[in-house]
Amino acid sequence: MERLSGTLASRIALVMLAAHGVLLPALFFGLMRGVERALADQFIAQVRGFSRAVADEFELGDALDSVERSRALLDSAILRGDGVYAELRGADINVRSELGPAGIQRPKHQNLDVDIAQGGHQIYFLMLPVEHAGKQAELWLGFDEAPTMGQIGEARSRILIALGAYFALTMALGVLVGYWLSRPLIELRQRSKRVASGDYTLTLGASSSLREVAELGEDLERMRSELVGVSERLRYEIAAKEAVESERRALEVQLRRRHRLETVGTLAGGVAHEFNNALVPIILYTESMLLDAPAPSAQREQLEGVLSAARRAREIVRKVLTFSRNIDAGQLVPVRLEAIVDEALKLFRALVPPNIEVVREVEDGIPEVLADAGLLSQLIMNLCTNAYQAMRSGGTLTIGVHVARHSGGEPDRVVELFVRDTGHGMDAVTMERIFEPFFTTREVGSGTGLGLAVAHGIAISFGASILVESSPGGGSTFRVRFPPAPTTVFSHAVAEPNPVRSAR
Amino acid sequence: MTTPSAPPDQPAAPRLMIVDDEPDVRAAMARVLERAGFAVLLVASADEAIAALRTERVDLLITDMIMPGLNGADLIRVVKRDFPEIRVVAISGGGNFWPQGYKPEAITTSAYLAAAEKAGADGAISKPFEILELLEVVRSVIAKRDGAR
Repeated sequence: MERLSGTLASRIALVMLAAHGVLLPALFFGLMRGVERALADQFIAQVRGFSRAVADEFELGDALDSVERSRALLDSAILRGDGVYAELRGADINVRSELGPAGIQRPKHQNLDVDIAQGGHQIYFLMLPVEHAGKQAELWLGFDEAPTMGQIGEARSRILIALGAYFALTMALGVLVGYWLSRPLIELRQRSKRVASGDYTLTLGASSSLREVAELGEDLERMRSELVGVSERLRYEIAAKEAVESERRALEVQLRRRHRLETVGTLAGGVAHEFNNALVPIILYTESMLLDAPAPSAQREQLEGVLSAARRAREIVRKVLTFSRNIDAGQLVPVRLEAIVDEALKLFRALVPPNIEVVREVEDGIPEVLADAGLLSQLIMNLCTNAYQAMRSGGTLTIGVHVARHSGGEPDRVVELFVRDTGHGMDAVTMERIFEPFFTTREVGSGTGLGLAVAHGIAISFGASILVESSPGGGSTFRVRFPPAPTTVFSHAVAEPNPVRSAR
Repeated sequence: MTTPSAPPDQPAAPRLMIVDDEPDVRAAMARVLERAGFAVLLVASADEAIAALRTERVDLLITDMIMPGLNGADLIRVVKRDFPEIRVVAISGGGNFWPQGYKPEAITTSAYLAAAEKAGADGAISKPFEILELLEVVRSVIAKRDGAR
């Protein structure tokens, strides 16, 4: 109801109602007055003319002389016209017609003119003085007002009907005009509401021949299309900016990690060089002394202890060098990753206790990757060992190879090797440092802290990237992503053998 | 600086020259090579080696690759140019020794040794090595020379 009272149609109806409230009564009373006056004038003129004629008959004839004749005249006056009362009153004559309705009392004075409906008079009385041959008398005539009153009432109801019809018609017209005016606006509003709620494909516009409304529709449509353009552009720009930003962040993290690893690598490389040099005299002198030492002796035992420690040191340095990219990688050749995974799996299954379930998830049709088979095998073993050590109390180790369709920075088709465990997982801080050499979460003595650093070094030497996903308690997944092996590298690798290695 | 000490009962002992900036390294190598019957000359740098070669007869040069001043690859090139009859064995401990020493072609131990081979070395061995490994390389290179003659 409240909604309806605010509409254009109801406003128009309200205004028309107010206007008619003033206009129609005024019209009605004006018209009624005119009609009443006209009918009254007509009645009076008729009555007077008739009375005059009766009076003339008295004056011209000799009816005044005889009561009978006067009565006859009065009777005929009543019979002829609308008269209901007729009386002649003189000094020596007093006659009244008995033909009219009984019991009519004549007033002492005649009515004055037109106010026929006033005071509830039902009968209009007239008095005319008549004179004949020196005799004078008063002629009283009474006329019935009812027919005229009936005419007036009839006119009133006609006027009322006409005004009522006019009122109803104009009100209906007003409401119709209101609806006609507001229909395109309502339509426009419904469409703009849908646009506002997000349906930007909808076009606006008003199907109206009214220029104002049509122009409003055009303006709204212009605004809508501009808004759609702007919001599309904004959305696109925001999406593009977000993509760039997330890519930048990922690159930044990668760069920071790589930078730190490179710093550590450079340092490790320098230390490794020094160690290698220091180990030369240790190993050579010890071996030399061993040649001189008597076969079973404490001295010999001790020297062998030194030598084995030196050999261990040499192995550690070799691993550090692997991490710091000073890797004896030799030449990279296209390798069938799944074959090496299967080989490593065979070995690994024999090593782990039965509470570790080992699952293989290798896709078919994996392209070859550029690698060194021996190092790749070591990389896989290191990742598997790490996974196993993360779930000493049992769990599932999944090793898989698939082609990852990756977007952002990397080529579309990267061969991905992954090793997933259901172990204790790690937090973000640990994840940041997991590939650093000598970083270990295990208790002292149970590992060198080099396994993942070496894995990292090997992956980098293949031009592959290595990354880790993990959460505390949620296990860890290590992924090694190989760029697809270009066929040209293959022939190049075959064309350049390395004879120096054979010299060793 | 020089220690010519071939055992008297081996008059034709091959004469070796060891070039390494680390005194401990060259002394230890000299010790085991002399014990194996070689006559050994020790120098600390490539410049010293080139100077000594002008006066001393040397059959085999063993040189470190990473040294201050002229590096191993440079020395090998000079030796192969000026003293083509001398055989060369390269040794290297690898590693990025210092930042300015970083060269794309010399990132890995094998790359150092590959650089040596490219410069003309006849054999190579990476540090640290054991006596047998060292002797095997030295003997095989000398045998190669003898076979070539």
